[in-house]
Amino acid sequence: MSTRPSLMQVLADARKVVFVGLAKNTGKTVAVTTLIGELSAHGRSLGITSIGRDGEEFDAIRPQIRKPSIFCPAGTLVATTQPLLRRSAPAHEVLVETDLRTPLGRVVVARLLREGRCEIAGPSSSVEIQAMIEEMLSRGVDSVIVDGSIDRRAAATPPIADAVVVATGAVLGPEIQDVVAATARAFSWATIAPVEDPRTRDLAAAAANRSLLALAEDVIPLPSAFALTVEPRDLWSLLGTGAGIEPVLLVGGVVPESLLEALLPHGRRSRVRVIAGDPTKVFVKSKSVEWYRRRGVSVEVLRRARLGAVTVNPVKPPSGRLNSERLCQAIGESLKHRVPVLDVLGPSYRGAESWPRPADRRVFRGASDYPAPVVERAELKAIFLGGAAGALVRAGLVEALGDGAPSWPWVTFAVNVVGAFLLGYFVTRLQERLPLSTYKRPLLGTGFCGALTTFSTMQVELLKMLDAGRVGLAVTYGAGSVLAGYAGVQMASAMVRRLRLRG
Amino acid sequence: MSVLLWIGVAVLGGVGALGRFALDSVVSSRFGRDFPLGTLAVNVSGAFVLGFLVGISLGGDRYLLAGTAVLGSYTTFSTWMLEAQRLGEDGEAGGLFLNLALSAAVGLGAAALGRAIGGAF
Repeated sequence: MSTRPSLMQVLADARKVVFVGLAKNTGKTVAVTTLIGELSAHGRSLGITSIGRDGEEFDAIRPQIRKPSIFCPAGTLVATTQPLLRRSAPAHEVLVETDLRTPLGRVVVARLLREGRCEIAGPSSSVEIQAMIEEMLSRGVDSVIVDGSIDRRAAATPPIADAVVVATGAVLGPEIQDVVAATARAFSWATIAPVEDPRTRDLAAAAANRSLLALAEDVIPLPSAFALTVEPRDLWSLLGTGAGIEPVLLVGGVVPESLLEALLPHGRRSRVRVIAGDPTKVFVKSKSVEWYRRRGVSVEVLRRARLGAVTVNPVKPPSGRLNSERLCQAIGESLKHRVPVLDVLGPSYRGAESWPRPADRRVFRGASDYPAPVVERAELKAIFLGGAAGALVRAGLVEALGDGAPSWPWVTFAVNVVGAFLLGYFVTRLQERLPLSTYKRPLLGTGFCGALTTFSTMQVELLKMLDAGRVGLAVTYGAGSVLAGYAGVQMASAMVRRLRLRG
Repeated sequence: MSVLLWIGVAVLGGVGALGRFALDSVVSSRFGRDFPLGTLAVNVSGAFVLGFLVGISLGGDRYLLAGTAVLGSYTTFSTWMLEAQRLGEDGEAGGLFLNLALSAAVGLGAAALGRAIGGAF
């Protein structure tokens, strides 16, 4: 078995490293923790931040699942929010209170006085992340690690990161070849070619992030929203001035796939070059950049993102597992450029053995990317109070109106459907309309709606109907409850989302 | 109906909700989150115990406290529906139907089994 380098060796010349995960459970946090451990075992000082938590990463159904907390050595600088720091961090001193605000509170830079777990959620825009990185570097740390989110590439923009580490894993497909294919697709951004010719480079420097079209000697300025709004027919007339000229389209902002599609007819005549600032501006989902290149539409970037390493989690929850060695090898072979592919928990990985401690590794070795949940007393209190209220309402209605069995149990039906509607309303609202307030979810969702509605009573009612030989009634009641409950959640969610669009 | 009884309903209802939170946390943090096994575990276990209480013919205030308050709060219909709807929204038709069918079938089976065992006492 060949020995592979450690993450630290691979990233030796990078002072700013961004980690992104291609999906949940790809082991991004494990990779982050591994690099932290290796660097700190070699006496390097660290700064850590993350791209702010966004809606998808946060689960309103299960408030106990949180932003993964990261085990940090003493002396580490962290850029996170004040409430998270207060709630989760070991002893620390706040160095800077920034004026950056996130849904989770004000971002501060703090120094940890002791080692320990810390929930880290920094700002969400790349400019702000950049500012945090520079702030920590200016305070003397040797390197800064950014825990990027799932599938978020913004922080991998070259000015921010010296290297990007991408986490992939068995969750992306059932077999090795599926994981390799899904990973390769996700990597097309990392393999977009940089602009080589000096003329285009000069042109881009002069354009200073504005969009323009260069046809031989002619340079035509384009409106700023050009790439997003252009119609294929307009594009055709714009480019259709002469054959034999290779048009160069400099795009100031985002390059959507619709633009590349619109260029395909022209690509059949002569090659078209589309130049984006950096790979994170290129949004290609259905095909690959290579696919468009072969059809005469070539995408290039002014600044390239360096793919520092790929980490692989061969474990798929709940119990699946692929062969780690073979998976790493297959992914390595599928990448055009030689990039180290590592399973940091695999048998052939040689990192610092002393860190993270075996106990921490065990936590991570579980199926989930998320470490042991943090439960607060106030949260339990909220669940208890909500549960008490829900139970009182339901029991009160049953006592007042009777349970109805063995005929149609109106009370259970009504509380279940109303409760499902309310839960859909609360969760969608709290999940998708930040800022979130701390204890509303456990109080209203887990506590009140959870307790107001009941599953067990419904099953016993169904049993009684079946005993009485009323099979038709049982089927109608069971299916009717599920249909109405499902529709309730659906309607409540749609309602909240519509209000949000309008408001 | 004494005030004391209703205080009992409230307290035990709160306890039921906490029990649900605890089991759901353990199950979902151990088995990932692709499929809502936590809620399934809660609902099936709750249906079994309520079936058992029916089997031993628990009635009156005792049933109100142990059945309606504790187990009613412990099990949940709304979270089951929410998780089903979210699976549907994500285009996971397989997960959606599995979630609905498994909960309904195993839940009913557990209630029947609990009642049979209770009835044998």
